[in-house]
Amino acid sequence: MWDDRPSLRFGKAFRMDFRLKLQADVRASSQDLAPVGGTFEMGRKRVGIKGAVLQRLEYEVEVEIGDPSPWRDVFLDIKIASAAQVKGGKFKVPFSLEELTSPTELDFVYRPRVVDALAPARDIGGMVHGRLFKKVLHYQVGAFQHDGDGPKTLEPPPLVPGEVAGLRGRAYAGRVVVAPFRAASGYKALKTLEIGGAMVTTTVPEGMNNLQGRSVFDGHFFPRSLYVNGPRVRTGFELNWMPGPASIRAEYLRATDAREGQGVGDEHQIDSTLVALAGQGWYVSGTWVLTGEKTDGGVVAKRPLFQGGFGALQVGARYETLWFGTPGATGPPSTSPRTSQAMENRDSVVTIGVNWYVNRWVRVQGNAIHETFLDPARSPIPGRASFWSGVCRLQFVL
Amino acid sequence: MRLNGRLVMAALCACLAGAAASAGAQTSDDLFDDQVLQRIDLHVNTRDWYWLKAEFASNTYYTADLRWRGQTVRNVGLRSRGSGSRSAVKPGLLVDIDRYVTGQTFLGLTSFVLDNLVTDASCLREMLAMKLLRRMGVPAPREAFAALFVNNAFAGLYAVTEAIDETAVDRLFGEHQGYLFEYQWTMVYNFEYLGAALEAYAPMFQPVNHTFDAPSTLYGPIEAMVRTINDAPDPDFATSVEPYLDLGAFVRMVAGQAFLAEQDGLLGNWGVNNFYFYRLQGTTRSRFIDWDADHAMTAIDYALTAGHNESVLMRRVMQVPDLRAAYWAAVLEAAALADEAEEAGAPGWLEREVVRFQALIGPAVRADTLKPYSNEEFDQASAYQMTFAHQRGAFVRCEVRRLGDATGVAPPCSVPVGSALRAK
Repeated sequence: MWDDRPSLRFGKAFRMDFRLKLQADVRASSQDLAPVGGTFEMGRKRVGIKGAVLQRLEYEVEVEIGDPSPWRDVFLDIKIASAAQVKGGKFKVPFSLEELTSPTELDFVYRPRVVDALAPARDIGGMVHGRLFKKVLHYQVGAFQHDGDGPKTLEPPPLVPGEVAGLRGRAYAGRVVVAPFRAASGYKALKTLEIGGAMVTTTVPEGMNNLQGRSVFDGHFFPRSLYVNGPRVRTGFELNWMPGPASIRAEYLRATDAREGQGVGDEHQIDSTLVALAGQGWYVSGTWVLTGEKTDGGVVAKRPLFQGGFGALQVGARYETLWFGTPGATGPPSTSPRTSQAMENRDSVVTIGVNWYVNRWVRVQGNAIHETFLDPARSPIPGRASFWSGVCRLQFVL
Repeated sequence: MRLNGRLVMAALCACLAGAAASAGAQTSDDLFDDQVLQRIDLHVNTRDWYWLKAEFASNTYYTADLRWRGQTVRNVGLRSRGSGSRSAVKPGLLVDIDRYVTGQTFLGLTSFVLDNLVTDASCLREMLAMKLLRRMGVPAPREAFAALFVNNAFAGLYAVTEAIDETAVDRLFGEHQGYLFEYQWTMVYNFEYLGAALEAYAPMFQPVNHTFDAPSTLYGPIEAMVRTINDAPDPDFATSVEPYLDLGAFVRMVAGQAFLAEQDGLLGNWGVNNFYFYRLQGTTRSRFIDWDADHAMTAIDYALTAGHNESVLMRRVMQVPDLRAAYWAAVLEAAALADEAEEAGAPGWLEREVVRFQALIGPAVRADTLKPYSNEEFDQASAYQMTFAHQRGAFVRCEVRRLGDATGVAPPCSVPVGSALRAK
């Protein structure tokens, strides 16, 4: 049958939806885009299936066409009760509202830098999750093989003969989101307000495996050039509110990488432990659907193009900042891989966007992006602290 | 043996105590003060120290903290250095102060060298040679002996040596914006003209500063200098070459090296070697800076004309009467400075320096288990340097007289019976 997309159904016992997601971007920037794919980029090309069995078992399989690591979401989700569901397979580690939002439903073309840099993305694992108190509280607790396929930890440590390389540790994640006004009578405008917090812990093997800061178009402003070793702890706080045609979203994320035994020592000890490297940042964004559609549940044009209308038009703005450094460290800032105090850097980004929801399947996005770097010498355009970029995306989702 | 070891370390500590006692407002002169045995501490991650030694042929930089007389400099760059002296056991080291911290200096220095002294069992040649050259006014690095401690463990006796960079050039010439090159030995070369292609000179003259300047800016004046050295007519040789090279300074350097029996210098056995080359700012005129004299002082009877015929530059210099006279005068000046006694019949300056340095470094050398020679070999080599210091001056004066003898019948000069002519 056809329900906005091809679908196989046997009553309520079985459902299989066939999915297709295509994105194509045209980009412009003062930054040289040739090393990062040029001005035209065919973004996501994903196909998959998604459905349910006996209303107790949900499943999804999604692959990226042409990617050497094609598997995206591959999981089963068993619903024991609304308060207790068990999910297993490969899926996103529960951390960061923006990271957990499907890329086809983002308000802006690109996720904030802080999310791209600090959120762990997908990995193989298991998770218990559910909703309590009339869906006022949503919890997710899981254990994963590693800390996601986002920030890779691939640099081998400088082992001496006889030593064995440390392994990437398992990741443990928890996230709680509360909608305090969802079940309350009155406060209609506040029913969609959600606030939450999340934490992910894992262990990073010794090596130059620090979290790195990248600009919108993949320029490294804080590269992977510091030795780290030990726990990596991510914490995050989020706010999401979608009153009518408006939406407000904000997050604060922080990640620390321990540097156990990575120092040079002093007259009292050798191989001292250094102050942890920190990456932290936040963003706040707001959107408004000029044509009046509600944002809760995703914008769906009331009057699509060629069906008596123009579609839906949404405008938005976002401010974000991502900073890396070693808070509390002493000594001169340095680019040394074993420095106590790393040379800090920050990327602050203003994005102004327009979304045109042509119909249920097609969306056109335009973003103007202004980036400012704390250290111009380590900007994607060395010596230049700030510059403009622009991107236009055509999206088709089935 | 245990008792001897303790005595040696006690003596070493006593020497170092002298250095530590003189804390206060320090300058680079204090670091290169050869009256005391310096103590330098480096703190390096054990993995980095392992790999620096394991891959000693590589120029990979590692991070270290440097400590000297209560001063700590964080995040300096450290790498293995040297050519024939590179070692996996006792690595020669370049300490790059501003490698990881832009603008960081230590006593005004941006880098210095820790010479591992592995090519000279006496450990004295480099120190003595550079000191004599500096006394002659020849541009040469400052040096002092240092006990190096890495991660709080004694890592051997080193010579802390002034790196030849813009800071050193500023000290030597009062300016630093000219062009500084480090000579890299690639072949036996004696200033023969290699043609107009600048690529022929680039591998030998590696720029230390202005590294991104155009090849024509960097090497054009060098090509012109070599061409002039080879092609200038005899009567015009000095006036033609002077715009490119300070010939008077060149003569003093080769005279000093001749006195010191330097086998691996500007007139070395393997062509020119071991020098930096500085082109004064705003001119085409250059000066030599001496470097690495660990092959000096190896033969009491080393010929004062060694390398003269092989070197195009020296051969032509000696055909200019004024320059020839200046050369022999400078050789005699070197001998006079080396033999300068506090009173008649007393040991000369060079001899006194040998004695003083032997006392200064003896305990550290004996405690240095990483040196590639035995304590007995150190004693023998050290004794030979004393003989050289005692006898070289007389031999050189005799040779100058003999070579200046118009009759050509002067007998060959000799050294006293029983003296070792060559260092082992």
